[in-house]
Amino acid sequence: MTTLLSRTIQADGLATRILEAGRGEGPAVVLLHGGLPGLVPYAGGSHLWGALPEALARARRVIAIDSPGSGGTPAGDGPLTLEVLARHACAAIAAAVDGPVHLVGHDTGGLVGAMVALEKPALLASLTIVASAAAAPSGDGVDNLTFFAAPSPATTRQAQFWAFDRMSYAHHHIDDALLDAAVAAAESEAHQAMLRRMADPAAAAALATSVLRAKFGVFRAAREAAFPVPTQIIAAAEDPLVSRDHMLWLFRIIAQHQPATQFHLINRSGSFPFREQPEPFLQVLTAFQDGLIAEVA
Amino acid sequence: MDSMTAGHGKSLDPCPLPPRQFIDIGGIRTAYHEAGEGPETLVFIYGGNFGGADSASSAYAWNMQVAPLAKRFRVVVPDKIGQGFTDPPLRDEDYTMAAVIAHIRDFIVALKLPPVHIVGHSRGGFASARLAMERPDLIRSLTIVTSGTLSPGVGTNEVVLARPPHPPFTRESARWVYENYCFRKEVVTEAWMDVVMETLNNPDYRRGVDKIVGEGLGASLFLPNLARYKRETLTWIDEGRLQRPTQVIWGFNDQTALVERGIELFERIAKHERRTTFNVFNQAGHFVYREHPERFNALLAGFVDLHSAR
Repeated sequence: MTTLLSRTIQADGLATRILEAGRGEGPAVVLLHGGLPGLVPYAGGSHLWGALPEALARARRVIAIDSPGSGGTPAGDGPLTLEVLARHACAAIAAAVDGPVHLVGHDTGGLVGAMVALEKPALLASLTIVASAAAAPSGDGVDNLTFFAAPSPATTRQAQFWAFDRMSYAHHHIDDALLDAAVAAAESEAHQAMLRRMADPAAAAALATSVLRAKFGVFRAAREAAFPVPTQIIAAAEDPLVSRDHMLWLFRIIAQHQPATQFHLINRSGSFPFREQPEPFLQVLTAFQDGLIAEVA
Repeated sequence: MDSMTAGHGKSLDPCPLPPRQFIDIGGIRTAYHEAGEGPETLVFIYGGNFGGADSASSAYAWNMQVAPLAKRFRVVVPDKIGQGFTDPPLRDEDYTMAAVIAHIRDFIVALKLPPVHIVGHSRGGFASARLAMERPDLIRSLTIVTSGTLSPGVGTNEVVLARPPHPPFTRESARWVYENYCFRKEVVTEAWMDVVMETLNNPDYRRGVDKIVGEGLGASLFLPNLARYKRETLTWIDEGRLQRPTQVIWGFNDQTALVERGIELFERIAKHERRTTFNVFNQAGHFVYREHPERFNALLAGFVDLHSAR
């Protein structure tokens, strides 16, 4: 049984909570969770990964980072944007690990991961973008009603369940561990501060606008030159937040010039394929990472 | 003298298959290669069909899988009836896909293999999926690699490969065909073409060509029979008869079976079988497993582990 250890590191001026466990010969795996703090109706943080860190830690070193404004990491004083999240991620990875890592980003964390790849490619052995509406092209899509008519207040156990249920193919993965952690995160000072801050329309707009700016930066970079690191896209077949077609387009964008690009579609899963289908998720995730190492050897 | 032996003007093969063995399957002398130890057993079914004169498939297609995967699994690669170094059908009416599948089935039974992880490419993907529905007791998991034959929609094989600009039975023709199949043309090695030429020059293989091309059984029997068989097979999938873990693997740059064909196939299978994934490799054409062998092998080994007998 692997135990995750929590510790605090300094990254980009923020006392940053990370979870870590395991060791192995290959590069460490670093996990960047999803959620836009204060803008999505659930409280984000490393607890969203569920049992994935422990499963990975059986054969490798794993580090899960709480991003600014989520879990146990405060947002700092300045305006929160994707650029801030990416700068923090670069600093946290460099502070936590020696040598290039396999970076795995879910949802917003996937877009942040792509920004890290562009800004500090030497930090990464590979990038995996999981179920990421933030990173995928939006293509003048229709309104997404997944979070329509969210219950209020958003910080209760019932409200957290509602949000996870809306994002899922089936609700069975929403266990007490997830709800306990989500409620604790929702009540934390970092999350409460984000809720107060995002009540200001200008702050919310700044964060939302930065998502578009960041994704367009990734699209441009991938169009003009090879995306700098091997990348796989893992999509969930029934993700209510982003369709399989949108995720395949993200693959097409990266695949324009990056030879080592893979796409994987996990069946019968909503926005959390690593929770709803943990075994196939672990299989495709580690096969790509291990295959890259075998390719170099 | 076979392809495993270097020298005599042949290219040195960096990744040879284990020695070819033979077994009688219903009067058909059947060639196969085997390596590694179980309990988990992988059976590889390559593509193409008997009677090809421009190119010729054989067990060698999988040479980059056998040694690496045999470190952990038992790996068995048969030559299909009328292809590679296996005899052609005894009767004219057996120049059909049904006979190909019956031969694979009888081969698995004759070798007393445990339920196997079957890996089928192209036409071999069709055969493997069909066998998984006809004889689920023989199959533990199914891997389908770029199979325009199985996927619904318009396959573009004939568009890309129609009438090669070189004469049949020549190295130039075979090289042209495989280079058009592949995105990474450098994987079309001299060692691979050596085995293709050995197959094309095999008198038993040529008997199949005489039937399919010379006597016209390809157009009069094999293709119309396959079309009816495909309709039935897709109907079976829609009925939910395919009840084995299935991964569908596609080359993003395969011009003979576009990635949309793979998605359509995934959707039909995934509707009834939870344990289905769809996997795409960039800078890969029709021969994903030759174009990116390390990452393909890692994906396949992980899938076998996930669905092993345990």
